[in-house]
Amino acid sequence: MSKRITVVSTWYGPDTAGGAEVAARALAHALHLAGAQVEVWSTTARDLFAPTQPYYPAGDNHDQGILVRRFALAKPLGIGELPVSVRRNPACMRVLAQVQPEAQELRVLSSHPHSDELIHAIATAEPSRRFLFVPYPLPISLWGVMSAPAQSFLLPCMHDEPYAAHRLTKWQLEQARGILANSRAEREFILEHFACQPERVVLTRLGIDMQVTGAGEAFRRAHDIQYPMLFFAGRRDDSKNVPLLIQYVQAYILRRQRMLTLVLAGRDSLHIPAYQHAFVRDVGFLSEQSKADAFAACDVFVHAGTQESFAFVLMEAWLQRRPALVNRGCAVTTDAVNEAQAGLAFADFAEFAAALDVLLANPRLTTELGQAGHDYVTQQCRWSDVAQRALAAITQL
Amino acid sequence: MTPPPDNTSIDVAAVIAELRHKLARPAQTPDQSAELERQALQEALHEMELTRVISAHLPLVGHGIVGRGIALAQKIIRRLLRWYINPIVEQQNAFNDATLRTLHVLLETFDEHIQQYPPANPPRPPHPTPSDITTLATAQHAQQLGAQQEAPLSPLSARLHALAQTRHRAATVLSAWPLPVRSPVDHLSNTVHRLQRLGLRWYINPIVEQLNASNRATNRAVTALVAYVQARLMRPLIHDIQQHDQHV
Repeated sequence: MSKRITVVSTWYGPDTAGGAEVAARALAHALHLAGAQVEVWSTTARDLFAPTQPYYPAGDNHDQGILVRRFALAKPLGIGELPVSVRRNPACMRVLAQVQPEAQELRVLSSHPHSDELIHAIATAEPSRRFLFVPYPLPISLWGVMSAPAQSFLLPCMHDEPYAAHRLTKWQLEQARGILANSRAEREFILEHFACQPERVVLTRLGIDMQVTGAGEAFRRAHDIQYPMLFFAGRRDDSKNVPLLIQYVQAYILRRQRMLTLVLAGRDSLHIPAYQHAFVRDVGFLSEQSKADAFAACDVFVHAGTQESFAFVLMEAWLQRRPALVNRGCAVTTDAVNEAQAGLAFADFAEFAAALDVLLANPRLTTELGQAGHDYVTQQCRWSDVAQRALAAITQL
Repeated sequence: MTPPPDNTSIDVAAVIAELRHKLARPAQTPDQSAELERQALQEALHEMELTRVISAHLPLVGHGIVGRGIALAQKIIRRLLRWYINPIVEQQNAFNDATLRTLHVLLETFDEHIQQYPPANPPRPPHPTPSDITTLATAQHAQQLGAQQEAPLSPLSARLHALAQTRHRAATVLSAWPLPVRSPVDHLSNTVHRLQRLGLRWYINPIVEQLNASNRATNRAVTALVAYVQARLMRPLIHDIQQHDQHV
């Protein structure tokens, strides 16, 4: 238990958005509260929406009792260029010679922000320090594992995506000391695609804040919601299948001749034709309380995305006792819905429309499903339990 | 006697929020909504007109004796390469012209059609789903039954969306694309090509920049036309459903 755990995340902080980054911060706090010696090593940038601009001050500072060391970002690299800290590290160069990555992998890596100072600090850290890299595809996580594989754990936040097929990713997952999986489906995906020993891939799950209670009526009043409300919170782009969701909702309205309001919350801008504002409401970035209010206000929480490793928003919707409608193409959300018995899944428009018919016509059913979701979340997603599972994995593997 | 007002039952913050929200969102009739898209389309077509003609003969100006000497050399090189570049640019200009004319005619055709045959909602369908479902298993069964009766969605919308993304990606022409390395000899030839590219960039880059401006304008106009067509077709239908549901 005396080992020092260092959470390494390219972006970290109170103003940082993004599922993996929010998870990194919450897990760091949970580990700290569980009695572990936790530090965070990160960069000065904020998040994916402002990936390379300095935002937080460099140097040592504290985040609710946790020491956060922020390293300066290095200058952007040329296409396919390797960071200086990697080129000067013989261990990394040996791995690169052995793995023979595709040119496309190096191009993608060079397009993301990195920090030579941070990678150098990892390479020269004392051997007793344990690193937990979040998430897997960013250069700092890859070069970090390559610099100190025996000390490295991954919270990969992985799903079926092009990064997962990279040769360097295969090396990274197979050489890290241990992997913490957010969901059953993510763990199965890793075991299926990589030669990892099952005992090295531990299902630790993630947690959510259980204290927030939403006020649905207040949200409906404040946003003038008059019709049955569907809700989604997250990036409003193709990565979450939001255009598909809007298309499905429009088709449902036209076919059933009944209005719905699709409320979309998120930090990124939403570009839709003006006429769609009749049924799509963009409420922008919501505070935690307002988001809980929105979950409580909705009739159905809809998640059309397929690239998830955990789906915080699904758990948050269940905490507010709302049923979910998820994309059958996403193993993680579909498995969670089946495990929790708290919603329906759709593979195409026909199933989407039929599911909405059933859910909107049966308020007792939605109450039952919402309650099942709430029970599931309170049993599985307590941060204190997650921290104990993560701590056991990091100290015992 | 009139009873005193019960202030405790009024949520002042909610009332103010509601008023602000209503003020921020002006009421729109179906025509007004399509008018926004029409205006955006006109602006996009105007921009397309402005960027339609690509020129291979932008002025070359040099300052001082050295600058004027360089400009003169560039003019000579340009004249020597005119047989090669100008026909390419002229072909592009012919295509740009035809594309702009097509969009105008397409717009006129659509407006004429929609005026003769305005979109109308079909009769309101009955609601076949039972409303006494309480268990997940029954719900899943009802969902499967309902899905079997549902006609599949036309793939055209998804294709339009995918094409918009392809257009967006393909709209930018690169004058300095990454040179491929297939064998060690390529390193040498790539170095020569890079030097050639560097030496001619004063000539090629302004043409590519004009191409990109034209591509962006065309992309914007096509996107605006799609949005306008969708608005004219969909907005009256959705407005009609909205009116009916508010009445109910």
